[in-house]
Amino acid sequence: MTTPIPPRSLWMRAFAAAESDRVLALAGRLAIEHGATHRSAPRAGLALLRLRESVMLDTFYLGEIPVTTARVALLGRDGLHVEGGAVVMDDDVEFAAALAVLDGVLAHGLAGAAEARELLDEGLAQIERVANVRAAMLSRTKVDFSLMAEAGDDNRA
Amino acid sequence: MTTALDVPAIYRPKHQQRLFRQLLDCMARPGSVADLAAWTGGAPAALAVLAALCDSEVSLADPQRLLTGGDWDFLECRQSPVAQARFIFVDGTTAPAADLEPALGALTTPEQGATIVIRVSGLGTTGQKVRLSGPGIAAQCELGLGTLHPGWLDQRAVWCRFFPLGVDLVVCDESRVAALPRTTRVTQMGMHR
Repeated sequence: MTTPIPPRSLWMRAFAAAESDRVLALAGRLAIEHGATHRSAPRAGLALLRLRESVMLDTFYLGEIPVTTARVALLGRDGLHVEGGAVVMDDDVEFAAALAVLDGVLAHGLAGAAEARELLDEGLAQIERVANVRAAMLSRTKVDFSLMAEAGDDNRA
Repeated sequence: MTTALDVPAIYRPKHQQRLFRQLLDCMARPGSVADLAAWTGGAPAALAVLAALCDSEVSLADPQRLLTGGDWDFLECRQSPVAQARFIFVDGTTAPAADLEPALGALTTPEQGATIVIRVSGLGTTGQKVRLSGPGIAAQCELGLGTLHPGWLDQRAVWCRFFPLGVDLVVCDESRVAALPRTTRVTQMGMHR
């Protein structure tokens, strides 16, 4: 029994967490198989990260983040064109285009979607591993102040 | 990956820089004809010029609907009515439409006059021959404007009669480009065979 596919909003993060060589290899093959072409020029650069402060509700720029976008067209079933897209925090245009290909293949169930799904699951597992490590590190920094209260304050005695 | 998903040549940054440089040279030396074929990857020179000039910050009018939906996706500029457009793309083989009224700028902002990219064929070698003089030209020079309809030159004279207001023309055939900035004086000489 296969697990339900996670929401599309998580796909970019998951693909980006998978092994990049395998992502590029699979996307390269699928791009040829499905006659992939760019639908618009891929762009790489710095995007301003906007934030709204909570008092006056003014928007200000917190900083800059590297962002790359890609949008591709794939030849789908019945000769119809379908699209895939990617917006990633990276400066590698080829990698963003590869993610856009995988996004299109998986979203539209084209040939190769099962392999893309495998990579997606691997990426999600990698994200979970990292999250577990971080959670463990965080838990070691926790201090139980209630134990200090039970022990009493030695200085006061 | 790159072989399957090549970005069209005219939208690659290095090619656009080359195209822009060529266009600047043409603007600085009116009457000179630049061959863009080395950087267009087979795309029409007019589209290459638009790719070099346009981005999401500028507006483009295409009153004759010469551009495809895919072209607009790559150009990423705003579609605009002719009167408000910073760039206008037209076919020059027919006379300009009577209601074509491009922005001419104002005395305080003459740079807001439109740039008109005109598509013709046989640029530099055949067709309507003109004598040019003015800034960027040593004395005078001659240029063949291919299949450009003479009505465009008549209309240009009207648009540019109150210098510094006016329009700048960029004339393109399949692979070559020439510029007629508003500072250039143009005298029609007849047909060049």
